Amino acid sequence: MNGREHWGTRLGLVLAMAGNAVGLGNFLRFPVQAASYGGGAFMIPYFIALILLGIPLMWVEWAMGRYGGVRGHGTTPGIFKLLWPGRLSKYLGILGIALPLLVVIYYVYIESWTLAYCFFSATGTYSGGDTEQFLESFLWGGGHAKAYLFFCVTIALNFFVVYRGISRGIEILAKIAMPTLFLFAIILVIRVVTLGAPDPTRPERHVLSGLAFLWNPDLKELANWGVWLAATGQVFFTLSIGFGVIQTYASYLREKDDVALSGLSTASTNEFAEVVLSGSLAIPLAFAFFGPIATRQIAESGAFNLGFVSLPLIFDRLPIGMLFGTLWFGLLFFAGITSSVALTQPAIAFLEDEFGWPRSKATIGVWSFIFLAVQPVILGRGFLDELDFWAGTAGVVLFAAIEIILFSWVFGMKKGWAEITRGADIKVPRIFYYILKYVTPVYLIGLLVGWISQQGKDVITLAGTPPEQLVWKWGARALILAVLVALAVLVASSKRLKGEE
Amino acid sequence: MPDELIIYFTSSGLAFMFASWAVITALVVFCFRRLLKSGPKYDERAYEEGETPLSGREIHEEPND
Repeated sequence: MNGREHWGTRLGLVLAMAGNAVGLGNFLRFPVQAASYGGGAFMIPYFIALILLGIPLMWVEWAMGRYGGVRGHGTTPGIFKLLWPGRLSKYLGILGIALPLLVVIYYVYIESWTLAYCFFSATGTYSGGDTEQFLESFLWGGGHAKAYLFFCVTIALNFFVVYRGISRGIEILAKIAMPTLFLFAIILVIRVVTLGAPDPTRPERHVLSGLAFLWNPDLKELANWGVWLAATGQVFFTLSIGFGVIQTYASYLREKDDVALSGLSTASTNEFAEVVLSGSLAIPLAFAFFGPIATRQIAESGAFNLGFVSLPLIFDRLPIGMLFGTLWFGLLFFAGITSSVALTQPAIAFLEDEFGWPRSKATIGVWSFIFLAVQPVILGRGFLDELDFWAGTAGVVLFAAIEIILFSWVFGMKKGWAEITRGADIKVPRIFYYILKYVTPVYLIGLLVGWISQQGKDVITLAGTPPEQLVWKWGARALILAVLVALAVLVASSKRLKGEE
Repeated sequence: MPDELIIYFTSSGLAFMFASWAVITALVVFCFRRLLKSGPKYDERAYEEGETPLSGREIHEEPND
């Protein structure tokens, strides 16, 4: 098949896709978002966004990827050109390479923390630190050489997996990491739900109350526009929609391979990890130890504090807490690495498909760039936040809006529907035809317009940013611009994308 | 002291949680049962029924491009 790699097994592909989707966002970002936005009130728009945006876009991205792949294009510049032969299309597709590349720059750094903390938990290095101040200084202060060592190990592991290719690297990793991740998560959930009230003098701090905190719906919160925005953002982030990665993974399929059942399997596996497992872990645990007010404060202070400060503190108080801490950070590491290898695949496939580079050369080139680009993330804290906002939040919504308009309106929904249903092992309900054509584009455009009108000016002018972070935030913006310009030059110079080959 | 507030499950909260868990779990079971039933190794299905995968060059000459 046109010299491109392909998946060895269907289960391997679904696990790799699920590995791409199940990431740090499931176990760190989801509980923080849910707790910050009223628990049960957050879950209502979350499920609505999942049905109207998440699952339909998952099918669209799978179908687009397969459509491009059988025609020799595994990334969105080439795929968009197939959908819309206009001059601009291949340049719009640049986002499908730039966004995952920019996200992996900070993602791999956070992933290295999980590896380090897994090691620290197993060796009991932070054991005995019984205050949040101790663990905050452990996380942010000193020990740079040790942290850098774990970062280098993480880069090396990622490089090794990606270098080995689709079926011998990424697929094998998914087959090992995903079942292990689920095993670790299930062990931790059993430990948490059987915890009861850990402090007998505080019976109100019970794990069940923590679950109630997360699930009791406060319908008044639904009038808050921010809840809808946050829930939609979480659905995008958790399913890895709008990153361009799903298209690349699906491009290694054959023309008649199913995408409907495989896409739904990916989404449901991800939701099981997020809603059932993750929802029963961090927040109920924090609630049982710290109570409702502190739990909300921890959640509002961000995912890092929950994952790397509060939970280690709790594990340290549990019998055989070292084991549970190791399982927690091991789980995060497996979730992270299956996503980070996926995030680099569009850039590698782009160099392979459009420039004929061998995989080894493309892998070395891409990972060398990542290694260099991570350095400012390590040095300046504002750099990471800025990359996360533009690439991991605003960029994915913009890219998803572009791709759904191209797919449903330019390529045409009739042809699009035929692509989604070709070779399908399940019957896709016809209502999704209309959801994809009307509801999803309107929802996404409304979201973008609403966000720009409410927060656009403050975000663009960096209002309220601490002065010491300004230089790093502008540095991040310069990097984003440089990546986009470099990719535009590459796209313009590719003979295959010009149709000259 | 507000921290002493006791949060009980409301009936709607409990129903919402169990319904969500049940739907998602049922979906996972359904998908993987279908997947394992219908999903042989991709290699074994390759090129059956005379299927000829398209090459990049051929497609660039197709009308849609």
